[in-house]
Amino acid sequence: MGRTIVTLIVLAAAPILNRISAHKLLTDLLIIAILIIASMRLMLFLRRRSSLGMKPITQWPSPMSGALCGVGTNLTFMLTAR
Amino acid sequence: MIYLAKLGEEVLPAGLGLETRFRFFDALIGSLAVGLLYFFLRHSFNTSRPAALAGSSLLLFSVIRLEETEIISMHHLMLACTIALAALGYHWHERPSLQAAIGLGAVIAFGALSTTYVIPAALCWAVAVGLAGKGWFAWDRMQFKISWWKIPAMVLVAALIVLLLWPPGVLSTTILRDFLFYLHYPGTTAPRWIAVYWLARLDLPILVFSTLIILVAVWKASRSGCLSSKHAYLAVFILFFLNTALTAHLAGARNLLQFIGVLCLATGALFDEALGYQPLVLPSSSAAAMILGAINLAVLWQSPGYTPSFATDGYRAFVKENDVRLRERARAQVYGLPVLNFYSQHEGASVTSDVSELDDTEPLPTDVKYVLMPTFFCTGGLPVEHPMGLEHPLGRTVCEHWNVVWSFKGAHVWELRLYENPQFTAVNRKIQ
Repeated sequence: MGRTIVTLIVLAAAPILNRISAHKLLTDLLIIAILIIASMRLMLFLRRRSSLGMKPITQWPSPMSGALCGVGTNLTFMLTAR
Repeated sequence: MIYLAKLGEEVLPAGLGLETRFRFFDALIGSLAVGLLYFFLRHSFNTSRPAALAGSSLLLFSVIRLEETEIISMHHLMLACTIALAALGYHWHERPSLQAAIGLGAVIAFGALSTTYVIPAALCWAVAVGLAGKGWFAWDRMQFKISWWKIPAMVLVAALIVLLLWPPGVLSTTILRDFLFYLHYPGTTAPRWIAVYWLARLDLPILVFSTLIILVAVWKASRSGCLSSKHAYLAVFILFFLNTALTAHLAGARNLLQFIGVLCLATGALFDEALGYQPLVLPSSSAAAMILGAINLAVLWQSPGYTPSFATDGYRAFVKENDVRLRERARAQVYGLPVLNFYSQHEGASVTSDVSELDDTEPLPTDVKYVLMPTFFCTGGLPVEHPMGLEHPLGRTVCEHWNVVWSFKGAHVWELRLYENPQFTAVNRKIQ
């Protein structure tokens, strides 16, 4: 909860960054990162008390895409593990 | 989305908790829509920073996005696709090129891999660039003209990407068949006016800000005779997505998510001109949008009178506390059977009952002994929080006449109840 509040305060202060940073694109990228992190933290925080919505787990698109995405997932896992 | 969920289970530490590990990567990818909205407002619509922040923070704090849409679902991916399609479509609306065709084709493919909603979204883009753009489509007196090599290039790129990642989507025309299925979906549908109610009840800051900004911007532009292709383009997207949301199967507030994305995009895109590019008004209005969005979310989150549609809990507790019933040779129907299976597998419980998913479109079979379901089936009356509550047959049979033999009520979630058929209770008494 504390970290979520800190993220939101940082987000509210985002326009001030405009004065600090000389590079417009860098500032925009920083704001985008803050927005994404704030959104992710909010999604996880608000849902923390409810069960998983698992409907998609039974709805695999197809064996082929399952295999392709499975390979992709495993590759990502291997790269992350290293 | 499910592969991201599985990835989270594999790579994240167990201390985070099962639900957080499963949701982490889906939440990360789902949050890209907010970042994309900011980026496109700044770099495709050339808005000021306060304008881009106003649009993206309205979407960031949207209760329908955060509370009414499941994290592990296709709606968030489609939202990112809708925003990218609308913004990139505008970016290239007067400059058809091979780069534009490849870019838009990739976005459409991304959407096609998420949901069939990409078909109306692509159709909307075609209408918008046909009316407000140049070079893509045109009506010259009685002749319909089309950019014959750029449109096929776009479709080809989209088809190739889908073919690579999901072959049946193209080879078996699954995307098209799924779309046609949802076009005539027979399920329970809420009345159309409920969309306005949901927006006003759950996302009032978005409704108020978007209405004010859009109306003021259009009024100012029409008064000064400066109605541009941007206004026409955004108007097509708003009307098309509103119409699609209202005419498609309206299962819950989450069906408005794409329309909300378009509304936030239009609000951000028209923010500067509605407020007259005034240096003091823009940041203060942007901050007001952000603060009101956050307050709305906080108030609803703490309100005892509001429970999100998908906030169910107690399946793990049910598995732990109903070991005997799970091994009973009886027929049962469960709302969210995959959830029950998942938690029972995780807890190592064996389920020998004849369990099937609760079919809310059919009358309940007479030999069903147990029904496990959240109480939103029993609310009745107006579909205030959940459309299932609208004169649902289960509300009349199970909720009113069956016996509650187990229940779980967590904070801010729907109560989960196990109902027992009174016929079986009478038989048990006779045996005893």
